[in-house]
Amino acid sequence: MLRNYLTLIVLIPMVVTILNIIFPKILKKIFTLLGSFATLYFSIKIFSAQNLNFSLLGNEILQVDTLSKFILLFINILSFIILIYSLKNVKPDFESKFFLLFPITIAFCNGVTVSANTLTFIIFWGLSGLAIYLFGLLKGKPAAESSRKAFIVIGASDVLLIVGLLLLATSTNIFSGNIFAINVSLVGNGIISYIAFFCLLLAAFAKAGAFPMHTWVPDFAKDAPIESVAFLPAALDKLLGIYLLARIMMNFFKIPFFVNGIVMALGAITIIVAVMMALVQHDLRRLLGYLTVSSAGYMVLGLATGNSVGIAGGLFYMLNSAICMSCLFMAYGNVEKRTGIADLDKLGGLARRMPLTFIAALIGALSISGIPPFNGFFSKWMVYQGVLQTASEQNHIWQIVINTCLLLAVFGSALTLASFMKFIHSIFLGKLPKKLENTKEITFNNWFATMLLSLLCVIFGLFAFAIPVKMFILPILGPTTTLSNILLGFYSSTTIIFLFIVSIILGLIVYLIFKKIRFDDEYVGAKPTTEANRITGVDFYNDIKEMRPFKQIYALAEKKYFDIYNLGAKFSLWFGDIFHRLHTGLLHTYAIWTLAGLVIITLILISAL
Amino acid sequence: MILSQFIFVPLFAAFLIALVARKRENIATAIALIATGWIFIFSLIAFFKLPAEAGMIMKTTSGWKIPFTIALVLDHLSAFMLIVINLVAFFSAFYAIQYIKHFTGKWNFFALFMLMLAGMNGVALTGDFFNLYVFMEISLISAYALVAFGTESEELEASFKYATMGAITSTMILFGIGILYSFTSTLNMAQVGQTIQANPSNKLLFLVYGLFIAGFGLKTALVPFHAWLPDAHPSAPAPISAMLSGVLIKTLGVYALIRIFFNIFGAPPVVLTILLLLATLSIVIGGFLSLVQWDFKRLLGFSSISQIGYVILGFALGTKLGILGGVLHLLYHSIFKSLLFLDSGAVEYATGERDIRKLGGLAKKMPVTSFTNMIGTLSIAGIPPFNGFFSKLIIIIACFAAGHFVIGFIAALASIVTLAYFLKVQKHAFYGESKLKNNFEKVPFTLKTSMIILAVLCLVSSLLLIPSVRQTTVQPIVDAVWNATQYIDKIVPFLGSV
Repeated sequence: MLRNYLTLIVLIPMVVTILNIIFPKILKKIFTLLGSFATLYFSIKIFSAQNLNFSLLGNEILQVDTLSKFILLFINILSFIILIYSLKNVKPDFESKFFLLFPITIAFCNGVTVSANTLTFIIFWGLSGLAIYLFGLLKGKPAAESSRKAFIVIGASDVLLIVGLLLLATSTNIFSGNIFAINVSLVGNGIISYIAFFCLLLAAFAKAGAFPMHTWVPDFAKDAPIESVAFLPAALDKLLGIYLLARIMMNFFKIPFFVNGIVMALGAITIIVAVMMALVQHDLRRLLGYLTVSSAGYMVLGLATGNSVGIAGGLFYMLNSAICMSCLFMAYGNVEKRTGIADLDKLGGLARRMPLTFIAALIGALSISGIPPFNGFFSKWMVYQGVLQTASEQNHIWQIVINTCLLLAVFGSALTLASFMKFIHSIFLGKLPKKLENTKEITFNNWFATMLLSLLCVIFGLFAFAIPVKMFILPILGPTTTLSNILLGFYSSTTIIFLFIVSIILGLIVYLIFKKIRFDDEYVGAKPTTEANRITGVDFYNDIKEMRPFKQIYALAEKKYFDIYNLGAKFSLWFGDIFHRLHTGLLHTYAIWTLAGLVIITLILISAL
Repeated sequence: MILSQFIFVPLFAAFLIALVARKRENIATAIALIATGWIFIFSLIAFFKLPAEAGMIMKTTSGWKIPFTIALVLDHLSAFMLIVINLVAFFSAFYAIQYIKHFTGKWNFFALFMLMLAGMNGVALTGDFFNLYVFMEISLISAYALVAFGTESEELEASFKYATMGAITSTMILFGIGILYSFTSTLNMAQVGQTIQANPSNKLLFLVYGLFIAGFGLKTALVPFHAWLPDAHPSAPAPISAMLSGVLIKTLGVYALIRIFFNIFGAPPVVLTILLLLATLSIVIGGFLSLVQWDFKRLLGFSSISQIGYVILGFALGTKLGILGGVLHLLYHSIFKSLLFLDSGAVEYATGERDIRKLGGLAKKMPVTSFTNMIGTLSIAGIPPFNGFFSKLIIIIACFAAGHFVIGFIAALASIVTLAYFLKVQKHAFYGESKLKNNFEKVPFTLKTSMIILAVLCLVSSLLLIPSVRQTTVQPIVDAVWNATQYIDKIVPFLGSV
């Protein structure tokens, strides 16, 4: 048992957690680091090994295939980097609890990816959801409501997962069922298989944060400790949610096209709805949260195309989004830790004070907005190609629908860039407020981790096809899939690098030749500008809020009319209230209920005679 | 094995407390602890002795023959109930040692407590209908008194309601027993069962079914017979609430229903269908009602209605898997619901407040209570790896396996509601903004110890599901229910010998 890597990557972090309960803070960090390094090492081992499995009590409990190996590897890479980020500057109030939760969360997430047994999968899935709640509670009062919301939505995801799997497994035994063996055709299996499909789909959506189950992400991002936001909703939960989605779309079901169409539409709606909300946010954490949701839309869109290039694009985008969004949350965390300011109006001009954080954030932002040559661009491009390819295979009506999805996705991409302009501007550009003049760059571990992620963005962009796509993505699609037979048009990233280097050199030459830069003070009506005249970036895009159809929509959105959690809560309270009013506390009413109950039961019994 | 000790030890303790310990309250405490500890240990011994006795021990309390004597029957189901009752009783009593300081008349409390315990153990052990009724009344009357123990107007009202409702349905049960007696000329359960087997098509039986479902349904607090519970359970002192919600409704309600309908009447399908519907109604209505409560203990009371629905649902499916789920959920619910009531008691003890809107930020002030409450919450909401997850999962699986997709789906969705209302408690009471004005009193040792042990049990009792452990512990209980009328066949040889 102990010689099997699959058990080790779950057991090691659990052991670390148990050790961490006893030992002092400094040892906790060392243990966690060692444990995380060990799981990283073993996940690389697993990745390079042939398919492994592990049995207990006669059932196959753990197993990996190419998809889970890929997810597992990146869970551990990202965890390791985020751990480096968390080694210092975690709030001392909850630092020691943080290092209890961190390793156990790695164990749970690893557990989800390597589970082959249905029951084990459900248990680990539930546990990884519990981790979110506990991380949120670390911060206590301010995060109490968002953690509750997150946990209820994630709890709903558990329930939907269980129901979905049960509907599939009615004939088989769930205790010994192997999820790798699930293969159901939706066509010809009746309504039950459709219900099962949509239950599982919503379960995956809740975890990954896609419409309509996305609303917990921005709230959680706003209130929870920043390390945990970078760790779970931005990175690991995305990986796990999309992992389940990929399993559903690729392995569990044979899907008729119209279902693909519905899922694509949901993906496109996620993209556009979330990014529209991101545009007008006043809170940078919520803004990032909404962009995380929006990026989930591209993954859903890509995976729902059902063709190789779309799926490859979706998975590649999942990887990139996890990297970029963690990077951005960390960069924002750096600023928050250094300045201690949460109010947007008071931030700005930090680029010179925190250059490394600025560069990392800029790379992350450009990358996720799909600007070449960063990784986000290539993956989006692949998703678009996949969507186009699907459209070309369908009839006219579907073509219109699918092309609308494509249009929304492209438009969403532009709006993402616009949102990031706001993000970058309000923190790093503009005029530096007086209070922040003494701000210094963050400590080594924080900027190093942030830079490491942005470096990954660059590498995965520059060598998109040579490294990530070839090594990680293509094996999932099957041994015979190669780049040239899935891509419609062929382009070479090396040419693009070349063009970029040339243009940068040209730019430098121009700069060196005409090296005339004038620095002037700013004036507003003949007087030098003061703090009051600063443009903060908070109010960017507020015009959209005032535009005709959007005004009402935003007003409704602010009242949380589109929030599935809120709708559910309202309905439940209304429903509960009805019963509550019936309980008048009057004894004779209750006695009448009892007698009525007796009469009805007796009537039923008599009718059964 | 002396079966009558389960009844006489607490009964004797009750009288001893009333006689000796009126003015020496420490002696009352000592007697109560020794008595509960004693029968708890012996209930464990009894359970593990059973296999050697072929799964059934029957004793009479005197030298008289069966129709004239009290027959006590111990099979796996009753031994299991004894463990559940005495486990919760022991920890509640231990908890009460310091908790009850806030009340006057400690000896009174423990005397009533012991009397209630004697009644419940009697119900679990008795082999005839009339004694079932008598023991049930003993424990109910002590429960009425204990609900009113605080003697505030609200508590007296709750107790009065409980007593009235209880009396109505006790009459129904007695009426049902009377009909059975007129039909079979015996009150011994096994003999009644034999007569019915010989003459199954008697239409009068259906009236008995109806009376019993309504009668024991009220003790179980199934919707629509539930209305007394949310008044009565919160009004009692916390350890008694734990006893009422944790075991009383299960012994007088669930156990009696299962014993009578499965083992005596052979699980008639129409009764199972009715129970299935009532259980589903209870799950939904109890769940949604809890959602709108602000009183911590009242919320727990409504939640008991919902959870007992799961237990009955499991049994009413009538499949082996369903019964397994029902048995496990019965045990697990008694653990985590008593834990949650004890938590609420600790909160009330420390702050004097039950309205969760007026609490807040207790996580820092009461780390033990908040931690154990978290475990209780996660257990009852069905979050792995805590016990409630497994029992609920088994019940839901059993629903799907039996083809009741809609009910299974409802049961699954209701667990989100459960999660929602317990997170509401967590948010408002333990993690929210502190709105506390009253003085804060420290939670004493015995309260903490009881809560910690029960919290540990929430996790440890999941181990019952390991196949090899399950085979020796839970499986015989499931078989005792599943094999329905084999109970009668097993008793018949005893009937001849005594």
